[in-house]
Amino acid sequence: MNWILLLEQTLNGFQFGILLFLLAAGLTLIFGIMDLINLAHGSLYMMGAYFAATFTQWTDSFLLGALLALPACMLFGVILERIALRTLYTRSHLDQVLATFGLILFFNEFVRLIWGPIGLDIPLPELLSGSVELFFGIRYPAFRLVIIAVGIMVAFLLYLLVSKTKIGMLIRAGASNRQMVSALGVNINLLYTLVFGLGAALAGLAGMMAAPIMTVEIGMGEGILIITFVVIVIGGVGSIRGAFVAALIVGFIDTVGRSFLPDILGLFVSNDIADTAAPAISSMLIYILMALILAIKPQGLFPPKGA
Amino acid sequence: MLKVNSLIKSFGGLLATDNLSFEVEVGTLHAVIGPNGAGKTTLIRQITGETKPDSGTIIFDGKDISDIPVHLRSALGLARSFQITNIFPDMSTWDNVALAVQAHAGHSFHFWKDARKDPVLREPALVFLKQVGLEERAGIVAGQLSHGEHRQLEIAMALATRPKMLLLDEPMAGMGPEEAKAMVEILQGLKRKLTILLIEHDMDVVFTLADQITVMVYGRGIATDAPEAIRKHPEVQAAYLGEEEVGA
Amino acid sequence: MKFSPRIYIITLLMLALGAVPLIADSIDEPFYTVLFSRMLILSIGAVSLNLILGFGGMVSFGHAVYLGIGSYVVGIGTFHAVEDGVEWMGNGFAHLSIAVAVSALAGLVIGAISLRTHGVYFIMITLAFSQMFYFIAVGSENYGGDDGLSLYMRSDFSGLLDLSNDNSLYYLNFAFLLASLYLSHRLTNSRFGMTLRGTKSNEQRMKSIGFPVFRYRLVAFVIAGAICGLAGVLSSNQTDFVSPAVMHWTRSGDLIIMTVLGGIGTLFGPVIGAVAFLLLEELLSGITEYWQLFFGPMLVLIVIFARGGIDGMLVALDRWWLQFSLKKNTKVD
Repeated sequence: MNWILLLEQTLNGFQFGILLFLLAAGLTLIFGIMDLINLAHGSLYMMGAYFAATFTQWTDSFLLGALLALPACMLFGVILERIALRTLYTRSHLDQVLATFGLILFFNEFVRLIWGPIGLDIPLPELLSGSVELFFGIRYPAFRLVIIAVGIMVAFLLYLLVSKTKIGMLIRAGASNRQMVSALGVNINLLYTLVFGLGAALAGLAGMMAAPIMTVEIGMGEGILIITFVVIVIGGVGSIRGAFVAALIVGFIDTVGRSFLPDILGLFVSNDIADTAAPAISSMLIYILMALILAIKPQGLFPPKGA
Repeated sequence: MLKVNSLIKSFGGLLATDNLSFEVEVGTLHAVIGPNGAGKTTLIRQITGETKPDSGTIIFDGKDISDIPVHLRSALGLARSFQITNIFPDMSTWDNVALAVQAHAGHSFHFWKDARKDPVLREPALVFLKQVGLEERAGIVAGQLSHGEHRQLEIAMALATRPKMLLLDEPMAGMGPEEAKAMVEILQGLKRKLTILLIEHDMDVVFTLADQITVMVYGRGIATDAPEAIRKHPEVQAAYLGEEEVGA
Repeated sequence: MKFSPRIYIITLLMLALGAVPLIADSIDEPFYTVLFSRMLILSIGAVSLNLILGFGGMVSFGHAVYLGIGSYVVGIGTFHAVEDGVEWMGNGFAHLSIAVAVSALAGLVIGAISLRTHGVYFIMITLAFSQMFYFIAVGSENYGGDDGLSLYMRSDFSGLLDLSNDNSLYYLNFAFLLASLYLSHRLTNSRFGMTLRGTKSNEQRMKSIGFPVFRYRLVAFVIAGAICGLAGVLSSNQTDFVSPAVMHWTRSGDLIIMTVLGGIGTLFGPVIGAVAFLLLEELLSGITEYWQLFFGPMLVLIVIFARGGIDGMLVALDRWWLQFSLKKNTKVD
């Protein structure tokens, strides 16, 4: 049993889970409060990566690039919300699915038009390109540790925001009773725009942190979007706590599962069969997990009250 | 026909049903009245199975139905009309009632015959529409009916399931005087043929139609008796103090 | 009978579809036969989706999975027929029956789990399930994996039909389209169909009048899957190729678009939608390489403004025509 590999992959799993959490938190907030299914959330992730790549190129500094990209994403999200998404709040989910699907097509082409069809490369920032020595003499890439750290910090900040601030209270109230909140005289439009902007910033943050370690390319949002959906469904739509727990579970199972499945399978069947079946089954793992959880709890692990 | 025993239901800190017990005799019209917030709709929801009581039992037609799911209670003969109009708005009035007929005409795994031309479904539906005075509007899309007609349709659909007992949740709500009069006539016509549990605010209607009245205040049943006795009941008068004299 | 522009247009459309190979041959552009053949196949897919989405109100975002199943049945079958000499695996009747059976089974399993959920959960779960199948296909290295598999032969209908002739394949597709339209017509007007419609219109009321809603939805789901699986068989024959891309989730999105574009809950809507969608795609991609830049927003606008889809517009056209001809007649008097 390769314990070092297990530890490494566990950390990788957490890191992936953190990225998923950033995406899922925004998506689940937006759904919980505005009742909006946004398929284009993956596009926000993609824009985060592309903005970061471009600003990094211009400023020659990843840190500056990221700092510029973050508000750019938020602005981008706000503009998108005002122009295209506002009309969808009162529409059926089917209409929302169709409209945001159209947006995905648009954004993918838009990116192709401006940045070209070939993906971009962001090199790891020099400061963080090395590895750090953890316990037991294991080395782990510094950048990935930063991702985990940033993610946990954001999760904590979100927790503070939602449970301790007035805005957070509005968000929680809005999640369970939309009409009540607007009847209380709160500017619902502004609240929605802010929430969407927050979601866009989170997605963009995930995108820019993922950029140096994954490929920045057109359509990069769609693959991770579906996994994000799985996370939300498992966690309970509308629940940030659920998104956090589910994201870590999914990240862990997907990453560790992929590396260790051939070995685990090899315990039961011949190595040949294990090697052929493993890739297919590892891709399926999180969906099987989702199906199992839904069979027992159809509303996810932490459905928000009043749902 | 219906026996409610020591029913208790609370939502968080709110006691919506407080140890409520009463009986509805076969073939009678039993009204439940009480000020707003008395818990009348929660009561209906427990009887239909949409809400599960915390404790207590519900006996319908001799059977304990406390654990039976919603759609099976309908099969047992319990039908409900809704306080807020709850029809099929994009289908015609006739289709609406025919669907209710279909629900109790065996299974619906029939894939070939045109259901809109099936006399087994269409004719009884028309009969029920006549009973509530809607036969002229049979072809109209249900969403376009007036409010009063919606209430009539509600009753026709409930009737179409050939219930032993009808639960009517504020059928007079939002009706003008003409429509209300028509509804009372319909209900009078139904009285002998069915057992009816009526939730209503309109006191004139209640005292005209009811054989027995249960008065609820804050989830508790404070009195169950014939209309005249209720009128004179001191606790009931106290509950309605400040409002118009009960039933006058 | 009063003249109805809508019926006139739809009839014209169906006749035109029937005549495509003849026209294409006469102008010596067999490309059109292939193009419209694809429309027919996707129309069948949209007709099947319309059953559960348009009439039943179930927004399934994983319907392309059945296209994939049908396609792979042919792909795997013909592969072994040629490579290993197992003749019956290349037989068209075998392909059709196995594809329908496997699709129905898949629909049963997916539906049994997904239909216990509602709203956004349902949409996301059907999406996730189709991704699962997608990854199974990507992982099957023996059958081409991500790159897919070229078909050595088309389904063999042992003398009855020679599918290597594109026109024969076209008319097979057309025949199946007509059959699925007729089936859809009967199903949606039957008691079963009424149950579906009622469930879409007001699920709570259906339950309270005594319908066990889940089982009817599940059966509808299975039937829709089976019909779409059949379309999948035709699809791989059409392209002589099968790959996981056939059931990528964006294909499911395309099917939904076609169904809604044409007009949900109408009989011919899916056909109109599929034809319109593919024609639009063909036209736009001819104009600019960045056609999706326009297609995307166009979809958004359609969703926002054209409720009822193209068929809805035709119905409005009918109403306008009625008023117009009434006015014309009164003027004459």
